[in-house]
Amino acid sequence: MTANSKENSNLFWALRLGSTNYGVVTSFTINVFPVGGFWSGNRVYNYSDADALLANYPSYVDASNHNDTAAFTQFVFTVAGGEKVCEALLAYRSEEEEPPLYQVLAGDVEPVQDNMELTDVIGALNNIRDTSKVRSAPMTISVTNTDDACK
Amino acid sequence: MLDSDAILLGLLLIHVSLRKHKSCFLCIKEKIEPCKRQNTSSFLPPYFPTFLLPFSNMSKHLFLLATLLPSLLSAVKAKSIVSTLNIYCRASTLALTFVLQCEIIEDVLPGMTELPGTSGYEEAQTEYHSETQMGLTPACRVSPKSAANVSAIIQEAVKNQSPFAVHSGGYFMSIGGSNIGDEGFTIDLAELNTVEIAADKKSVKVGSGNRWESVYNPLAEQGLHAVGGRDPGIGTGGYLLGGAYQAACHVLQRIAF
Repeated sequence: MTANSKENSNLFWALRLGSTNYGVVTSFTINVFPVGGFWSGNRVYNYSDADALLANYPSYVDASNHNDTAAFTQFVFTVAGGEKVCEALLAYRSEEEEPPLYQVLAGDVEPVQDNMELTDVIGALNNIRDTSKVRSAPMTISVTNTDDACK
Repeated sequence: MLDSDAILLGLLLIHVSLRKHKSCFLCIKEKIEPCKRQNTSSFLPPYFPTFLLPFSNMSKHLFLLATLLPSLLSAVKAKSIVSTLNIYCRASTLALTFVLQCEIIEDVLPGMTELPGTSGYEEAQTEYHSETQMGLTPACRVSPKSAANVSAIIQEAVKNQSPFAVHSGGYFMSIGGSNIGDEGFTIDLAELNTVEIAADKKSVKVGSGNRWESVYNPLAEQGLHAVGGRDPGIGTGGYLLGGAYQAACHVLQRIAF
C-alpha cells in the first residue's frame, strides 16, 4: 500500500503527525536537493561566557539575520578537564568561514578552543554527530511553583 | 504417541512454572470446548503425553523448549491445528506462546528468525541507543527482506495475537519503543535497506531499515542531500514517523507499506 498527498492521503496525514500503530512502513520517498560545502565543527567557551552567548541567541535566530543558507547550532553544557564549559556544535551550509550570522551569536566572546573547518556535508555531519553510543535516561526534574507561574 | 481418536484431542500439555511461580497450561487441541484451567492431576486423562517442565528462569525455559519444539510443531502442523492454538492462563504462558510463534514464522519465512543466544540476535540487541531498550529480550528477532515478508509476519502475529515491536534504528529512548520483552518478538527492519535515487535527482526512495548515513553517503557522491537525522547513525523509520524535528511534515513525499 502506498500513501501520499493524493493516494491514501488520510493515512499519510496520520503518519506524518507521528502517531503510531497504523502499520509498518517499509519505505519512504523523500525530497533531495543539491548541497555544497560546509563550515562546521565545535567551539568551546568558558562556562562564565554562557550567559553572554545565550543573550545573543534571540538576535542570532532572528529571521533578519538569515539568508537562505541553513545553519545548525547546539549548545552542550558539560565538564571538560574538571572545568564546566559550554560547547557549541556548529554547522553552516556555505563554504564561508566566520559568516556574519555567527558573529551575531559570538559577539565579543572568544572561544577557549576552536575546531571549525571547511568541509563537505558528510564531514559536517560527522563534526556535529552524537558520539555517545549508549545513553540511559536518569533524570531528576525539580519544579518550583511560584505565584507568577499561576497568573 | 498421539491418540487421534481420543475424545479430547489434546496433543500436548505443558506445565510451566514461570518466574512468578504460577502454574498453568498450554493446551493445543483441535476443537471441542476450550480447555479449562485446573491442576495437572485432575486434568490429565491417563493416556495423554505429558511434559512437566519446571522452569526457574526464562533461559532454561527456552533451552528446554528448543529440544521439544521440532516434534511438537510437526505434530501441530500435521494436524493443521495451528490456528486453533488455544492458550489460557495467558499471563504466565506468554513466553511459551511466542517461542512457538517464532518457530511458525521461521517456518513461513525460513532463515529470517534469530533466537536468543545466536550471534545475530545478540548483535542486533546492541543496536539501541538506550540501555533500557537493550535490556528487553524478545522471544526472537525477525529480519524481513521485503514488504511482502513484513506482511506475512504481521498476518501470523495477528492470527496468534502476538505482541511485537518494530526496530528501524533503535534511537527511541523509552521502553517498548522499538524492542519488546519475551512476551513478544521484534521485527528488525535492517534488511529493508534499499536506497534508490530518482533519475531526475529530486527524490530518493529509502527502505525504512536504513540509518541516515546509508542515505547521505550515496547522495553526497552526487552532490545531493536529504533532510534527515542530524546524527548519521539515526534510523530513517523512527525519524520520519515522528522522531526529532517532525521532519516528515516538510520533506516526505510518499510512504509505502
